[in-house]
Amino acid sequence: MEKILEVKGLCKTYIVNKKQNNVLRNIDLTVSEGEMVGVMGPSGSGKSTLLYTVSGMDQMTSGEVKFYGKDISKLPPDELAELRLDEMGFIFQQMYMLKNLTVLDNIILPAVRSEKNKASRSEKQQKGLELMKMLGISELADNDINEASGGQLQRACIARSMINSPKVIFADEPTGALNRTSSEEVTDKLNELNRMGTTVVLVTHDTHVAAKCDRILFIVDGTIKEEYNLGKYTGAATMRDRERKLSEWLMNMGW
Amino acid sequence: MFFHILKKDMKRKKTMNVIVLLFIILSSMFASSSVNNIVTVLGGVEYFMDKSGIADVDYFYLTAEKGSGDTLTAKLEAEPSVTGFTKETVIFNYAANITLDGKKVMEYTNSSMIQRVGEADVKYFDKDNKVIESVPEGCVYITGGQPVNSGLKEGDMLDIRAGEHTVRLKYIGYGKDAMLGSNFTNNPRLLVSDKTFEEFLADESTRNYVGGVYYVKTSDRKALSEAVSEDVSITFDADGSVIRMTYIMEVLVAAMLLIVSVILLLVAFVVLRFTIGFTIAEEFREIGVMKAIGIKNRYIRTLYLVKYLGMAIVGAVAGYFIGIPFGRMMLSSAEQSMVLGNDSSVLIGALAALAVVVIILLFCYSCTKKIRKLSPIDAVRNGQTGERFRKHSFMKLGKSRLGTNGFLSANDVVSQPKQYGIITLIFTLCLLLVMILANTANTLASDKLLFTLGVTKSDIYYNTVQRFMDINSAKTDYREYIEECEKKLADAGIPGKIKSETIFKVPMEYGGMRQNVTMLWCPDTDTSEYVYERGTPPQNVYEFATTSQICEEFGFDIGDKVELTINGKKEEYLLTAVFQSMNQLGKVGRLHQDVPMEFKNASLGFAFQINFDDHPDKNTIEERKEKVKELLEVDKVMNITEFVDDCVNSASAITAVKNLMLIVTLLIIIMIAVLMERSFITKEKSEIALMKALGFKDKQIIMHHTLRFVIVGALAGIFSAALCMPLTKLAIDPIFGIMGATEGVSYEIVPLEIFLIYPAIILAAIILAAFFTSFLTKKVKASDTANIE
Repeated sequence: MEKILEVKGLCKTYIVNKKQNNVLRNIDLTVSEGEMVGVMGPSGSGKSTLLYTVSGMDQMTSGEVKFYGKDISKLPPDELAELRLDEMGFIFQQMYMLKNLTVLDNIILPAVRSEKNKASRSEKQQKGLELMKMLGISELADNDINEASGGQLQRACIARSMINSPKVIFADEPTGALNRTSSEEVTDKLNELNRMGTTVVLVTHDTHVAAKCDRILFIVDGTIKEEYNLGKYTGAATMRDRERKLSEWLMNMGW
Repeated sequence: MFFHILKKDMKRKKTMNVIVLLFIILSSMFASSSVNNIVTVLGGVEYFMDKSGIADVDYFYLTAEKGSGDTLTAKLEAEPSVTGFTKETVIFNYAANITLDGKKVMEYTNSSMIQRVGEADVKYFDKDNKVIESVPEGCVYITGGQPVNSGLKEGDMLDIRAGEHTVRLKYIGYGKDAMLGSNFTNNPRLLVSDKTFEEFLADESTRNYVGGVYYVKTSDRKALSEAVSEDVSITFDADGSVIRMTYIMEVLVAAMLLIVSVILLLVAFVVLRFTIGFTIAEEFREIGVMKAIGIKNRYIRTLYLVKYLGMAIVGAVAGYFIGIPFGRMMLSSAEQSMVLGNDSSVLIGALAALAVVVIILLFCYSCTKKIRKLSPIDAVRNGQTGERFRKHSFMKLGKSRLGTNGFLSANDVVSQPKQYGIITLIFTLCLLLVMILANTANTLASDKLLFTLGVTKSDIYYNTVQRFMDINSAKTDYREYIEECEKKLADAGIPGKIKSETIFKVPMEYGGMRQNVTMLWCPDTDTSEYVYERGTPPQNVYEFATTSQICEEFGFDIGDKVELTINGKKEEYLLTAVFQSMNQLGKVGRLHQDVPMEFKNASLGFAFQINFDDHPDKNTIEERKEKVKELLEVDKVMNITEFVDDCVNSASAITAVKNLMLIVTLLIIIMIAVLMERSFITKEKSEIALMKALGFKDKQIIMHHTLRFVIVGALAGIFSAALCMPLTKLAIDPIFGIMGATEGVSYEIVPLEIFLIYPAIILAAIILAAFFTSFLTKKVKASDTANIE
């Protein structure tokens, strides 16, 4: 499998009130194509910062992040923006959307913006509708975002992250604001996308969500303390066993 | 805790608070200075009349004796209704007779008067508002705005001629004259020493130019009018109200500033409304939490009110003090012609500033009502109560042909009509302000008002008071003079017809009322060539036209027969038409061209008009002006627009106000655009971060934000273009009405200026301000999506 993400010696430091705060310390990490990687750790350990730094949304203090072999730390802001637009998808804990657009328009916005995506606008709209259908929210196409529930919106965010057929989806606690049922639906959709070939890197506190990942990274105080390979998720039948193994491992990590 | 929250607010929203404060300062500055100026100028007219000793004068007469001696004095002495009168003897003069080193120094078309001070109980004032008790030997004061406008310096040695008599006098400053010194009247008086004046009078050659200024008090105005109605020496008569009305131009400038202040106040309130509403909406969480822990509505509301009270007081005090020099600057042109006094200016200014504070507070009180609606649940549910299902989006990205930025911007504008509507309204108001002033200035400087001056269109107009006086005194024959000039033009290869409008005082009698009425007459213009509001033009010598003011005064209308005494013969004349006029503030009539008027009875002459036979274009007319000046040996040759400006004498003042307002408007618009864009960035921080996270580049977000202002700016341009004409008429017609044009005038619209240049300037200011402010979006990072509440 080709390496989609190679991270070496990644450090991120904030200066707060003249005090240096090392959020990420010398992180080394590799993610291969088709993987679904979960990032776990206590609050403030640097999980989200890691996600935003490796995706080029935030600047690193030192180190190297290669996306398909290209060092993104050396890319100018506009090229980074293009990379995020065409090659990456993002899902956030809060279902951020532009409030003046309908659900469908929010989904197709990155496609319309993209210069690489040569499809016509109606084709893009059609793709948006297909994604909505796939995610079970097709009836919301012309609705305003305040007319949808949290779970529906998060699925719309997944559809938006998929619209440009990205190589990788970064998800920052995508189920954090959802109830159990919605959380289950969203995780299943991410698994489905992953099975279809999209690499997923997600940050989560939820062992049930993490149990569906291939590999778990456990971060403490800005360093990857250990990683645990659960193997490919094959279906609900294996869930109880995966969850148990993961919980045991997390307990050993001091979770 | 209370002040801690306030301090935090002031610090956090520094720029917005500063801009709101600036608006309050501007509003207070304009309000205090304008109200004060209006009170000063309006009260100032009465103050000036009183100081000059003519406040209780009922009638003012100007007579030209034309060598026949004083006829009016005897009539006034014999009239029982006259309770007292004084007279000043004057020698009529004109601009060309005042020279400095052989060159004419002042440009005015009305006649001036050489006279001494102290003959009547009338006071004249120097530039420092001190009474001119006497004029030193060998010196001269000149009243009105002419000396200053012409750049005359104290100490200049002027050669002043009357008839064949010339004296060299030292100019020692300008003077102020309540009766004839307003910008509108513009009849300068040359105040000289008794000895100098006696020398002028003693000279035989000045006899034809001797006249009088009479200040008459009466117990029965009607009886007085009737008693003097047949005195042909009277060239001008006016009661006190007409003299007071001549200060309209001075009042007009102050009134314009008041209108600007009102618009500025409106803009300031809209900005305040927006800011307060925005602040409260932004702080739903803090307000919700305060409510959740049991803090009462009143306390929370007081927090905001105290903040705006503080800002209103600071702004009003600062505005009041800045308004003092500003108001003085605005009054400087009026002060040039008037002695202004206002004992309560401090109080008036302070009251106006206080009114701004009160209005702002009341406004804030009403705006903060929204606090009551916010509940603790807002804090928990991110400001969404779950009950709001108002449609936000109206456009569809998938179906739109617009680019992404264009779509997002247009969609934002239509999705938030209230927010963008307010901004559009402010921009429209600002643009309208400039457009209305520009329309007024352009109209005053155009030929649109020509018909209200009782003059027909001609290629060239020229003034020669000297020639008129010669004609008037029968020294020169009108017809001979015209023929001589026409021959000169023909010999020079530019043949044309020359004519002139003449004014006569004609006794008019109807329904037992008898009065001298100013009549316009031109033997070479068919009465059908003039513009009438209603009726048909006079067809024969026994028909005449007049204004609605005269109709109302006498109580007659079209179809009525009125007695006019012409050339000593009283006959019935039929009123066939009504027109409007700015001559004599609207109190005039028009006689048929075939009425055999005698020039020796004329009281005034208008400019001579030339109509070239070859109907030249504008450029050719401009080229011929110099030629005419040389050929006919006249000083002032004008095209049609210059002639109107010369008569109305206010275009430059309005243009100055317009230019000032354009600068003020630009500053306001820039401040509003900066304020609004900054608030948008704060409000939309999460959306900006999201867009960046999704892959939008900085320049695309800047473009998106700027485009929204382009749209509202363009909308403001369209709305103001549609509204500018009706609003110009609404705002300015009453002003022209006071000047005599009661039926309204047609305005000179310069499409390039009104529909292109000003909107382009304003739009450019909006775009640049929004563009540079939107650079602040660069500070928002894609990773901020994780930090937004």
